[in-house]
Amino acid sequence: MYHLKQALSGIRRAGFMSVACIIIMTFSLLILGIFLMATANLREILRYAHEKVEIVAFLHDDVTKEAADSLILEVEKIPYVESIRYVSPSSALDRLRAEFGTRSYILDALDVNPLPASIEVTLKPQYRLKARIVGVAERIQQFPQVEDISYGRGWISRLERLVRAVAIADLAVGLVVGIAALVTVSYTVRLTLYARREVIRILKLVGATDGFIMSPFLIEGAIHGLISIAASLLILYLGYRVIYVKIPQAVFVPSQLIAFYIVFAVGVAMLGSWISLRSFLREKVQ
Amino acid sequence: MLVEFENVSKIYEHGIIALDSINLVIDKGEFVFIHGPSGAGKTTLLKLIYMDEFPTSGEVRVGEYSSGKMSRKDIAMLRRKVGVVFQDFRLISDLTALENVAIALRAAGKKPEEIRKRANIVLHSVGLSTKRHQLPPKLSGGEQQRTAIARAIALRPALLLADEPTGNLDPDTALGIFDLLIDINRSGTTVVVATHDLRHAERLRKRMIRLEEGKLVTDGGMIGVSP
Repeated sequence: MYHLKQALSGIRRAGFMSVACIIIMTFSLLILGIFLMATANLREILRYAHEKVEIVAFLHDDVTKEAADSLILEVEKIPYVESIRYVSPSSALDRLRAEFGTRSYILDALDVNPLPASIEVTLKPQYRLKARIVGVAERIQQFPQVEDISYGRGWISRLERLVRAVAIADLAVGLVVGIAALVTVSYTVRLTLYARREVIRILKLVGATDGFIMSPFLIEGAIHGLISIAASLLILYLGYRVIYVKIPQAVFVPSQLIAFYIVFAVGVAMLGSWISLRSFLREKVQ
Repeated sequence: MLVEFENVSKIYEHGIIALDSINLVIDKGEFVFIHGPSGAGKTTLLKLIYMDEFPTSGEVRVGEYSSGKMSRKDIAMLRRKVGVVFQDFRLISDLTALENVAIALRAAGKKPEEIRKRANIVLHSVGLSTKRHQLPPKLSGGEQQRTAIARAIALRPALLLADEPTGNLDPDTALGIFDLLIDINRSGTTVVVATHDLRHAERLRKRMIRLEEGKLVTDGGMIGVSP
């Protein structure tokens, strides 16, 4: 209680500096928040894309229904496979017709159905990763019934690369924001420290431990961090609501990441206080 | 608490010699004056006892503590056993007399109930019961020094150091402060007072250590007693 009271009076003392510090920290953290949210959304797109990923194996024209059925039995034995659907040439044509909609009359000009029969293979969700998909696709390609194989190889790896790049950018932005927050908090707390210099000396004189002397200042730093993170989360959330109206699939920063974000802000703010404190504690009493 | 200086020298930056080969023993329960002109090394000698400074050579031992091996934690623990009083009182101006005393107890981790009780008792013992809720600027010099002494003895230290405790006070008030120090000494606390003013010291007839230019020139002569 004593420490908290001292911390609050420290913030009051620093006044304008405290407010400036909180504003700078809020905006620095907001930038990090925007990056985290962008990452979360890209991951969401990637997850959605993976969900949609299936392997389509086109069969030779001379493959009979029986031969197709035996192929399905074989493919079902591959452990990562969730489901297999057989698409006959006629149902493929129906699909195409549906996709053409009003212009499906174009297809009427065809004398024979040019579409091959195919099987569509979906993998279990946890295996819908590029490496796994390629592996399974290559195994299916080995079967004699299969003429060609198709899956979204190109854009999946592009998307995975993008997510990785953004995750690296998150780290870089986190580092810059962390340093900015560290510097602002340590300067603000230093101001309080100058004002409380005499009190610190007296505390040292009467045998207060470093921990006892530091506590109010660390709490002061933590309060700066908490206010800043609350403000930046609020702004970020309002921004998210605006985007959400336009893009309902947009997601907010996931809760584990929010937890990390809060711990990061408070941790950096306390570290900033501690940096300033260290030099003060080494001063002499007299 | 036993204080021992073994061949202690203290040289500050720029080569200023504050203390030069001091050998000294202060026994438990003693009342000692450190006397000498300003710049003789009195303040440095006290700082070495409460370990705000460390010797350039030699060793200072205070009770179980030795200047050679003090961690930051050790220094804090030592200062709970050694009260210090200064000429300029060193009170926190936005805390009442009672809160100024309480801070020493709080820093030592005492419980709120004990802090309140002990702070009141100590303030009463220095004769400031009625002024306990006053802020230091509202107190006279003598009252401020009594508050500072109350803070210094709040944790029942074995040793009380006073650096020119009456330097800012008029002679009558100074007399009262010395009487208070004597009382504290009678209750078993070792008291070491650094002063350049001999008028009061003479009256008290206590052990006198004289420093000049960092050297111990006389020890033990009782002021006012003919050799």
